[in-house]
Amino acid sequence: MLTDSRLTRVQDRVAAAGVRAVLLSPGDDVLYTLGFTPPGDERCCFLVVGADRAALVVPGVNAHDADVHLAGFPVTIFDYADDAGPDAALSEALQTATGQTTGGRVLVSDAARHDHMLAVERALAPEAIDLASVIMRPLRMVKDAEEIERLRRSSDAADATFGAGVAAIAAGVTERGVHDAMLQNFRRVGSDGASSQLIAFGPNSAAPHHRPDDTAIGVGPMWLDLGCRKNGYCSDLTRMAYRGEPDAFYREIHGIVWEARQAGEQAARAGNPASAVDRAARAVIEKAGYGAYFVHRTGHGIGVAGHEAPFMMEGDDTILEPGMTFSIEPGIYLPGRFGVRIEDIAVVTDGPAEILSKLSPEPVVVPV
Amino acid sequence: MVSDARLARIRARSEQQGARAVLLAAGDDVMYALGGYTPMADERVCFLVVGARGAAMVVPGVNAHEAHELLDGGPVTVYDFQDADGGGDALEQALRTASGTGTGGRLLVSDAARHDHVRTIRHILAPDGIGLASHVMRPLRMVKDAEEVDRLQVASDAADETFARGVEAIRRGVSERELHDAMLDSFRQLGSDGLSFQGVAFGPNTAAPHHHPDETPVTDGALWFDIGCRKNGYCSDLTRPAYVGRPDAEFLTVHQIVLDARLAGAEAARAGHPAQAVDRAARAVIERAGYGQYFVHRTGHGIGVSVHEPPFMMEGDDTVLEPGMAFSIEPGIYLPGRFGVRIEDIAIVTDGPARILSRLAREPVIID
Repeated sequence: MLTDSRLTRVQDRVAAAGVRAVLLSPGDDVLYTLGFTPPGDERCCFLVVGADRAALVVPGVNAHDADVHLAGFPVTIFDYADDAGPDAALSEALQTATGQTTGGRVLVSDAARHDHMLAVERALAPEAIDLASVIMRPLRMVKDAEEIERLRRSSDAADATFGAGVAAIAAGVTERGVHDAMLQNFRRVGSDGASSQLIAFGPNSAAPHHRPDDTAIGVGPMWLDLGCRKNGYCSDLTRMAYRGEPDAFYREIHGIVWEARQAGEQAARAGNPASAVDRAARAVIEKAGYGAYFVHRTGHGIGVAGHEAPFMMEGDDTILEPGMTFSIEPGIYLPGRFGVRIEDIAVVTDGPAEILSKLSPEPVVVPV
Repeated sequence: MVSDARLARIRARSEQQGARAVLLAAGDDVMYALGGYTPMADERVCFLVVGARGAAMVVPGVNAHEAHELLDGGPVTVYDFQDADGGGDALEQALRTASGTGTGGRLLVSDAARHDHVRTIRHILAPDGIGLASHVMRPLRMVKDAEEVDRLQVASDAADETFARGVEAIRRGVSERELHDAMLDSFRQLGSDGLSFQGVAFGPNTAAPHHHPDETPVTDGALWFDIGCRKNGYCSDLTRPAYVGRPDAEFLTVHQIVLDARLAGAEAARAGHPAQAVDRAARAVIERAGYGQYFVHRTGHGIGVSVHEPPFMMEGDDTVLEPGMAFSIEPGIYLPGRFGVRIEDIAIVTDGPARILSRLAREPVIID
């Protein structure tokens, strides 16, 4: 997956932004740029990208791994011993990437740790520090064909894993049991390690981020919200299941959420602002009288990160372009009763949005 | 569940530091402060604010249900916000509740807080200065009380059991990834809280101290497992080597040196010694044996609600050890292209010799 075309694009943006360098934290920004990232922990670690050259500051414990992954790649590695601290390595990296050891305006990843920001201030004495999203956001938001293909494969893994979760729903199984069945399936279908598998049954489903616990799956509604990272790219999918026969009220709520999901998809067109997707979905739910029970944004971008820009919410006026990918996931949550959410990943095209999941939006009815 | 005593200690330390309030980021600091609960952390602002007048939690709407359920009626007031509104107003209200005023003063913010969240705090709360929350949290979190030590023991027992199951799964032809998965399943079955890691390295891969398990098949040669989980909020971390087939003389020699270093580290882990004395004692053994350059990392790290936290067993960390401090002692020797050996135990400082949590043997497990 290693390609220096991404690195070149980041370098071009550094030059265009008129900053000395961008310092990217291990995690999504580095994964996007190099197709590889050292693990992030309390030790300082940055990919320092100047207009022409790049260098990686990495703690000694991860140096070998970085050497192996970046062999032949135009990134100089500066590792440091734990007791020496990162300051000298940071200076050398900045020198290699920019020809200067201190000063200038630098950009630092939005997700960088507070203490690492202070290390950057101390070691590099920049004139100003700003958010790296200034240059990374426009690059990461618009996916190329290969990235979209990876998102499709990741989505396929989520579709298959939803099936594994439904198969596990049987008398006596707990939320945790369904969680574990989905986790195992994600491992089987080749996720890169990071995966998330939430399930909420009955009244638990009225909390949009309920964490799976020992609640037994009885008769009633539930949602499964799951996703993984595969070949560096993420999936995120929510579908409903119902053990027993859904009643008319449940069907009505489900119907409203599905209508909102479709309205969001209709608005997910090149030229519209991201907020239009939220407005379209929210309008359906408000018109039905459930506006107070739709307690979150309609969606979030997705790529190397599970959540990234743009955000489908009021105030995000990012103009949608072909290649942007994001969730559309309206929901209605009735406290003490149940919640319904339907989540799909949409890809903006020149025409109607492409929806990645091949699953039906209907609730899966599991016989008692 | 929320302990007034912990919040009171945080408040007292914060006042000693001359701070108006401490802002703890969702994650380990909040897990510690609230005695086992933290909202999920993501790109949305989420902080526990502790000041002289009280404590307040800022949480995105999507996680509000859980926060209200767990915190309402206790000493922490919950302020949730809608995605489209952003967390600014909620932050200001929380600071007002915690400290009496909504802006100004000196604030301490978690070391692990995100760069973009620190900027939000600077922008919205207009503090006179921002410092690291570790000034307050580090001394508190470093010294464990009896209940915390019990939880560390329970997490350690889960790691011991999982190591045994990993060993049972070793056979020629099994991949590192399959062994990883077997131990992941074990941690889930034993009731880990979700976070767990199961490092596996075979053959020359063992020479990279942080090798990620891959498709490498296990044949005859050296192996190590580096595993741990979080259970009831507290972490374990355990490394043991194994050998498939008949170990050669050099493996046994290197293993003995590492074991001697591990024992020397434990001997130095006594109240009144500086943390770096543990590193020096372990490192001296390895240097004397002529392998100093192959011990490429610090000797250990504190452990508690975080897998890695202060103190750090390395040159330059002169934290004076006190009864109740908990940390890893994990010397290793890594011979590039050949093999590596690491032995890791968690030690608790007492009034006498350190207590070692794992009950496993320190001899290499040899599998025919």
